[in-house]
Amino acid sequence: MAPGVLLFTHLFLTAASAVVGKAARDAIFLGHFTPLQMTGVDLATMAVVAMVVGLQLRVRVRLPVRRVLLLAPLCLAAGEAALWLGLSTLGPRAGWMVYVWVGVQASIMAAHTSVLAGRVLSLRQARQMCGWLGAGAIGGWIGGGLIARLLAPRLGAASLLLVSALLTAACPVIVAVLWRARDEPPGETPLVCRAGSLRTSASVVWRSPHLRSLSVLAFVSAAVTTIAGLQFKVIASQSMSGTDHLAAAFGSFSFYAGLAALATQLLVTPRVIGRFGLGPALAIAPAALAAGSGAVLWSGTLAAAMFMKGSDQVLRYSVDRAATELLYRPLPARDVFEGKTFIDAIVCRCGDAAGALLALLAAAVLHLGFSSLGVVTIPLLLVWLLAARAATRAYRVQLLDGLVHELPCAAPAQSTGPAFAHRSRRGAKVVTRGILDPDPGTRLRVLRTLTTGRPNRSRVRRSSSMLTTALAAESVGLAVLVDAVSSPGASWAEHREEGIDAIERISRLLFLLSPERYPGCLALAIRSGDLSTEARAQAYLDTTLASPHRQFLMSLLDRWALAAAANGGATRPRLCSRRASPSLRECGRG
Amino acid sequence: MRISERQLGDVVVLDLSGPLYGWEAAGAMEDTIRRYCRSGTQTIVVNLARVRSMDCGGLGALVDGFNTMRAAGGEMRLAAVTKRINDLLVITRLLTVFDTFDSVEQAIEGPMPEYCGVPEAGQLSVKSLGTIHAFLRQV
Repeated sequence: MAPGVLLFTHLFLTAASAVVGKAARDAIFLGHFTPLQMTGVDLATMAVVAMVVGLQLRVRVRLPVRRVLLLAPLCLAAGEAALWLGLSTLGPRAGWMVYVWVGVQASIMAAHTSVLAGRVLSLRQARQMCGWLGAGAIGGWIGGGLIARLLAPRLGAASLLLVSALLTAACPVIVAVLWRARDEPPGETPLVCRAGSLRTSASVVWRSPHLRSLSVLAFVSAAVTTIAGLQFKVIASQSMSGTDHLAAAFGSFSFYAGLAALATQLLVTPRVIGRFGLGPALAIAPAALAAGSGAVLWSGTLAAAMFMKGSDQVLRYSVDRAATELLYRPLPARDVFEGKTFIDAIVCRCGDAAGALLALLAAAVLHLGFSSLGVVTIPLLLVWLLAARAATRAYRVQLLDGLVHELPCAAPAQSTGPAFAHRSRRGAKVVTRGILDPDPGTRLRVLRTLTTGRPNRSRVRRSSSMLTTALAAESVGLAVLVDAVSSPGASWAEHREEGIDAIERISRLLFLLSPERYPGCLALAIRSGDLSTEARAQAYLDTTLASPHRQFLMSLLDRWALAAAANGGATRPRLCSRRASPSLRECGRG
Repeated sequence: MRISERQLGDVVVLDLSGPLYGWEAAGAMEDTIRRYCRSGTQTIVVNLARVRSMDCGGLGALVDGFNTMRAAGGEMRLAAVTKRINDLLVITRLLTVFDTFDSVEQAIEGPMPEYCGVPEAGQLSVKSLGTIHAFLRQV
């Protein structure tokens, strides 16, 4: 079975289990306790999650990842089933236990899917399948919402705990099948040899600027979402009565929000990420939440709260989640496991706790009602937007670091190159005219000469109009070529070299126009012949190029890659890699 | 840039002079071609003998004119293309798309291209040309 289908199923089960469990725990808790106490239980959940993650990391030192992914869901499901059995005997304190347990389960299981995806998908596959995988999570939300909506009025909110346990217990089956379908041999050894602990994971996150920026983003977004969730739950519980009725209402809400999220995921997410890139995609959810928070602050009605929570749930689990998951892709698998587990399980829970604490302080100290918490969330949303921007920048840097690491021959040169700087003005003019020469080979040679070293800024500024025209002309040339290659009956072998050269010329023109944004290693990476390096270079361009070049060029590069794959792209020449000869390394320096 | 229009039988000749720079000039050319296309003109010859250079805007105007005429079942031909513009058409590979002739007379008398009205495999579709035009317009 295809890994995509299995990952989709895993995400479906995980999300459905979380939705069903949370509908039960919220209703059970609000049936016994006040909304203010809910903020307290959120803090307790955070502390327990930290302990469980620490335990999981310690266990993982001795156990391979596969066993952790197989055993953890079984333990969580068993605990949930035990809580269902003991619910009647434990009394009101069962509300606390259920709340904490379901919170722990949701935190741990969410990280497991990411780890699985990191193990079975390449960067390119992840980009292509982000919509499909996200749909799995949303499908889980819809399915979970539907289950809660149907079962809660008939069997009671408590029965949802057993359903949640069954869904979680099914996850190891998917893991087992997925692991068997992998290319690597099953006798895998633990990835991490160092002492696994929360401190180690925290230091992994702390050492990586990229993971740090993602932590800030996760923290702020979790805090805001928690406050918005509390507002919604409190306003809903004030408008409805009865535990089972409330659980069914939460289920219905998840069901309809899930449907909206699914439509958004299928119709909007690929377009937004493809057309505007990760930066704008990450800004959509906070912008919509700001509108929702404003509406609740202004009216305080259930409709406004539903709009706020709905916009959060719909966009967070479609556009925002897909974009955030992509931000993790350039990291090494080990860092993703350590970092993402820590961020999802600890940082997000700290964010939840901070959100709960802020709500508690606002209610207890500032005497604000739950509908007035917008005064806290709106400034936090601004921080969220800034954090999203910083995370996108860190992602770009991470991609670039990876490229420089993979192509040591392409380390950015600091010296001023001879071609641009040391020739006479007249000579330089003759050379720059060469970039508009009708012969593609001459153009490539001229560009390679011009990009040897760092371009002279003043000369580049003087020729920027010519460079812009050349870049547009090369891009259009590539578009015509890609169209020709994609048409039925076209000969790939005839055009392959032309296309690869055209892509290199475009990369070098970008370097000449802005060496800081488009370093010379891009030109080499993009024609390296190594699929993962090419994908990394493309992902870098995807976040760095500005409109209209981004949409135009990225679509061309995708089509080119498809044509290459259809015609055995592995036959491409490897121009520059770790093993490339010194002369080849020299050709691309810059 | 100036545009002079003249009618030679069924063919409209647009004599352009001056550099084809910027979207003002390109817009004027696009509007002129659209006007003739709407009035039912089947063949437009764009005389580029006095156009020494052009930028992305000019290139976009040529793409748009060609696309407009082809979508309406007509054709746009380029005549007396200067070296610089010819080089640009070579780089963009649009020389394989446009019909170019050495002079206006040859463009008027030249044979109808085989693919006129019905694009063959390998020829750019209206959609592809539209995408290229949109890109060039925004650059």
